[in-house]
Amino acid sequence: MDNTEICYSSAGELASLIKSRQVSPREVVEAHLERIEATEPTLNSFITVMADQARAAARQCELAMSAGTYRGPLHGVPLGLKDLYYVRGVRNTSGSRIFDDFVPDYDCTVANRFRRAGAVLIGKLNLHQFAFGPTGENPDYGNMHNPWNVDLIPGGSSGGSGSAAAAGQCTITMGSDTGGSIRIPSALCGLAGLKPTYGRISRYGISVLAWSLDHAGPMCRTVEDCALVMNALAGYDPMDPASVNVPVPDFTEGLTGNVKGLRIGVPKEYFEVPVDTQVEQAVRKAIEQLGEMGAEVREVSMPMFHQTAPISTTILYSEATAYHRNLVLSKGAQYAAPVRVRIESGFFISGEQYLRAQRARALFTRKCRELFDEVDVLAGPMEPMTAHPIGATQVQINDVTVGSVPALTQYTRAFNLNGFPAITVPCGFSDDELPIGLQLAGKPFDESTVLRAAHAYEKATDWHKRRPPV
Amino acid sequence: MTTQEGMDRETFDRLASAAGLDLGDTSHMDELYNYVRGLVSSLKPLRDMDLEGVEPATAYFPPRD
Repeated sequence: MDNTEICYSSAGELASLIKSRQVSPREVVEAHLERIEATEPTLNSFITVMADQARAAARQCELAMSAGTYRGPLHGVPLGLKDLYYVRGVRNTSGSRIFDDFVPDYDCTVANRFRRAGAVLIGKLNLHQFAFGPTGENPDYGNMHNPWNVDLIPGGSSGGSGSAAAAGQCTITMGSDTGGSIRIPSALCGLAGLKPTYGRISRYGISVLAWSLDHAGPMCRTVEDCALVMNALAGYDPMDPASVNVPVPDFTEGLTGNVKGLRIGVPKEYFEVPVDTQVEQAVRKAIEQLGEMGAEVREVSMPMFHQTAPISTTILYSEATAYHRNLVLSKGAQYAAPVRVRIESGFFISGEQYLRAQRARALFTRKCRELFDEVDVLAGPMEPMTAHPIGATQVQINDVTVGSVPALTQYTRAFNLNGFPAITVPCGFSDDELPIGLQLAGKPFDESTVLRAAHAYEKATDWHKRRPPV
Repeated sequence: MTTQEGMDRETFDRLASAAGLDLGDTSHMDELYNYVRGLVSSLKPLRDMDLEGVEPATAYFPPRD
């Protein structure tokens, strides 16, 4: 097996190769380090490559196997963490030079659980500064680039996670999602990216953007890999005040390829906002295909969809400002200008407005929960368009010019507000060979159904098998 | 004052000063003022929502030992 094939193998495929000793963890790590060396000058996915630590961890994996200890399907699998997941002894910048020398003295829960599962941390990934932006542009550590066309954004804020997984630099990566930051880069880079239910994966030791909206989740090249990551990470953590103590299923159990009888709702509001014609066609075709596979598809109305942006903005900006207050007042000039302006604008939102938004959020969540009495999954576009050029602040969708930020977040924010699980899975390519994503969302703590639907679609198509030209 | 249309510069300066922002950085404050005016305007739909009887999605739970 050559190195390129190793780098484009899924975690599920690597697991069986490693377990059967057809390939060693060291070979896997070396193949990825070589891939990083070859592609990193173009993509800029990483802030810190941990070559020596990764080699040492791979050796430990081999020693463990020699001693008869196999830790499961992530044993020896290369992992990249967005550079806001704390890892003891490794600098954590959150995408800002202000924290260039900050080295945490403890591990986040996610890093701990990955280590327990045998995954090999290969580096810390670039991000939109402080995770506050959806494009993956970063003046401090350089812009991230989309492997499908390096002149375009990979999406953000987990842009490095998106480009690294899509380009075979890592088998699995982790992002964080406050307003879409897992799903946006996953869709634009052609990945499966899951934002689990709020409280399902611990956020302990992950830099905050907005406490009540932040989610941690996987970005992988297959849905099965997302499920494998969920098996390793999901579960109660008393160190995270938002962690919920509910039963954790085996997330791979439902990956049968069967969607017979699954009730899929397609919100009509999704098509009342600007959406590129090619994107709409690809998404509608994907939903039709799920129907042909036995799902019951029907149009529904998503309550308050058109109000999600002001509700979300009010909560996000208020919480981000509260978190950043001291830092932005003392070192504001060192922030990226657009990020600084977003954070400082939160000073002009009143307490009454914040609580009004939280009341609206409660109403929205209740109405969404009622909608899920009628359907199992909501389906629609992940993004209204494909990736746009780096530096663009306005984009053209059909004959309408819209702001990049509101466009990139128009389908994502609803599920940060209600905390329901949502995944993106590739469902086509535009004429200029750029990936298009299908978003599937489900009931709280029902990631299994979301994964089941996404996996069945993925299994019936081959979009996820395409490789970027980089 | 804050109006349906947005926020005037006097109110902005007063709130900025109270927040501890540096009013002396005029070019930055101009940029921030433009952004805040757009923000205030974009949040207007929130004011028009009927939330009668709805409690906020925040709650305090005393810790259990």
